[in-house]
Amino acid sequence: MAVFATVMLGGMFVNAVVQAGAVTDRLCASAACSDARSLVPWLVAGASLLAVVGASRLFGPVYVTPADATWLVSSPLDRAALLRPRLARVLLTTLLVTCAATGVGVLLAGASRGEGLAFTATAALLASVVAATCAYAQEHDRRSLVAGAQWVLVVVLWAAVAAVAVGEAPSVPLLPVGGPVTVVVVVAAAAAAVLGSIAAWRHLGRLRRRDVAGGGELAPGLSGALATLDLALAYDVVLAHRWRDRGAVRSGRGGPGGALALLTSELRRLRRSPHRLVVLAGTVVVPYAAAAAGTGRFVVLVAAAAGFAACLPLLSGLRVVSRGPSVARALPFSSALAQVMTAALPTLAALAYGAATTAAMREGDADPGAALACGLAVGAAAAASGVRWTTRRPPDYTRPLIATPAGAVPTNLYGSIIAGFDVLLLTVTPMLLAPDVRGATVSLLLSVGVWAYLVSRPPAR
Amino acid sequence: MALLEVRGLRRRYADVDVVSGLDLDVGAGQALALVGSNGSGKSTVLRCVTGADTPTEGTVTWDGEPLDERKAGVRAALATVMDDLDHFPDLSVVEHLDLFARAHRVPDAEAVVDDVLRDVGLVAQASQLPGTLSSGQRRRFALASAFVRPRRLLVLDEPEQRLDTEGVAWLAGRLQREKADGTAILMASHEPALVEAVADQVLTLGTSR
Repeated sequence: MAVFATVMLGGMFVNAVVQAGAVTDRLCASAACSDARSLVPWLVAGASLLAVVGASRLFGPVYVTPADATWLVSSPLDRAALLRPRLARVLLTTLLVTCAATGVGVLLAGASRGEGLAFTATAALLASVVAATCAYAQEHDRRSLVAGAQWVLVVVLWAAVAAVAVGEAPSVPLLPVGGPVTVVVVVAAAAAAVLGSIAAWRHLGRLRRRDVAGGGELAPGLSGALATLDLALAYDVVLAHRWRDRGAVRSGRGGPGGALALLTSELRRLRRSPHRLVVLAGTVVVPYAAAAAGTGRFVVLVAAAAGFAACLPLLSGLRVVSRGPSVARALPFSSALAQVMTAALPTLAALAYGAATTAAMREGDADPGAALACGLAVGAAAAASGVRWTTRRPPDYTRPLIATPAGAVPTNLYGSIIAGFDVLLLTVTPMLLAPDVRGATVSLLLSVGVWAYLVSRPPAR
Repeated sequence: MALLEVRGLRRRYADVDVVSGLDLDVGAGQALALVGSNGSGKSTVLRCVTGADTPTEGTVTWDGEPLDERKAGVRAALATVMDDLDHFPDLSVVEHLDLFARAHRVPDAEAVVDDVLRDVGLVAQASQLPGTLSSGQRRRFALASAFVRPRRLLVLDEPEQRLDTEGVAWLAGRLQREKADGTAILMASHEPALVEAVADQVLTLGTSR
């Protein structure tokens, strides 16, 4: 049954991607669009490598369950023998997932079959090399190298998107089919994957208990959150894990009293993790790249979606005061004011992001005023969607449950997974229908209304 | 006159009354302890008083007015130590206490925070992130969050939980000082020594099992 379902759903997905590639063939006629399209497989492959490094930093990548960490890792067993199946699983998963993701990129780019296969295989093998390297570097003193590699990948990907944005995207071919270069590249990638895997394999016995236990402590919390489709909770789990790893900070004190104390505290948190703001600022290139690729009026949707995603890390303070009554109860003002104070800085940042995307909204000879209005409305839409995602209620198991093949499901379970995206669509639609001052004004009013309603709700119980 | 009055409190889950017909009064400088076995409804009463749960029937009044924990005045007066303590993952222990003190406009907040840190024995952990604290230290952190701010009513749910013997003795002394300063205390406890040392009234709740 499971195999049949996988084959059927997989076939439907591949068919949809092939159709999307065919549609793109027809619509992407300009030179700028063709150049941008040729970059898609490279961007997807780069993003896959980034995901591999990110997941490796989070989980290890080799990890054991808390039970194994307690009973097996601490016993006088051959630790390498215990960890080998886990490493094999990591490498295989990396290979398959990167294969699938890069394959989609190749299909969307309209590459030929042979060209696409060679590129996909190379990307998947390189991802395995990266996973094996991360496993090799899993000891704490080498983790900074992995973190550095992650930032290098981020900068390279950002530069590629920025090149598309400024219309300087090179038309990058995939590997030429059948030539000696292709064979050399694929064989070299395969050799690197084998060598990397062997090195990581032989290194497993030297991993300390703390190296493999951390990811295992994270995994149950994360899988619990994902089982209830609670993405915000999953993000909480990851964030708590990251900061617990850090342990201590150089504390800052002082500042104004009353509700402004919360704002000061948010500023302090922002100074502690300025990369959240850097990521939002870097995301500004996305709508420009979309505009350069000829997405037309859909630029507003791309801009708002990118801003929404980049805003989420900035809203972690709002998340703390809205996910339960505990923190708000300790403050001598209303929950609404506490939520406004924690949402204020992210909202300002989102509006600044929106204003910075203004030039991307100027399709053809569009009125500069309309472009600015659309830019601000995009920022407001990103903020409202982010607040919706952050303040969404967890699944409520006291509600009537629906019987499904997957078991009893609370009525708000599936609804909660689209939280944020629903507001995004609601607030962007007026601009999609009328990309002028009128549409932007309606969008802005909708965003303000949604934002105000959400921050005035009491915290979840 | 009692600061906190509870009349006819009833909390029903499905078809089970966890608490029924409960009356209690706590005045300034008085301490009332709820005792009883697990599941007897102690925490439910505290949750209803702090607004974390809604009673099925009955009233909770504070200073003669229905207690609404959303009101700024109530929040300014009501300090709680419950099981649901949450925190910012990237703010240290001292930064949390500083935030609470400044939000309440405590004069000379820095000195007050330092005093409380010394009192609860968390000076060495001041710059640690709360997620890294041990369970006992986390309890002390929760108590510090309540002691660092002004309060007229302290609601404590098993405050002795995870404290060592010395910690319980310290807590008893601290709560006696709170009473002497005029703070009303409503607490649930399983620790007879703490109840005996602090409580003026003891209310034993029946078991629901």
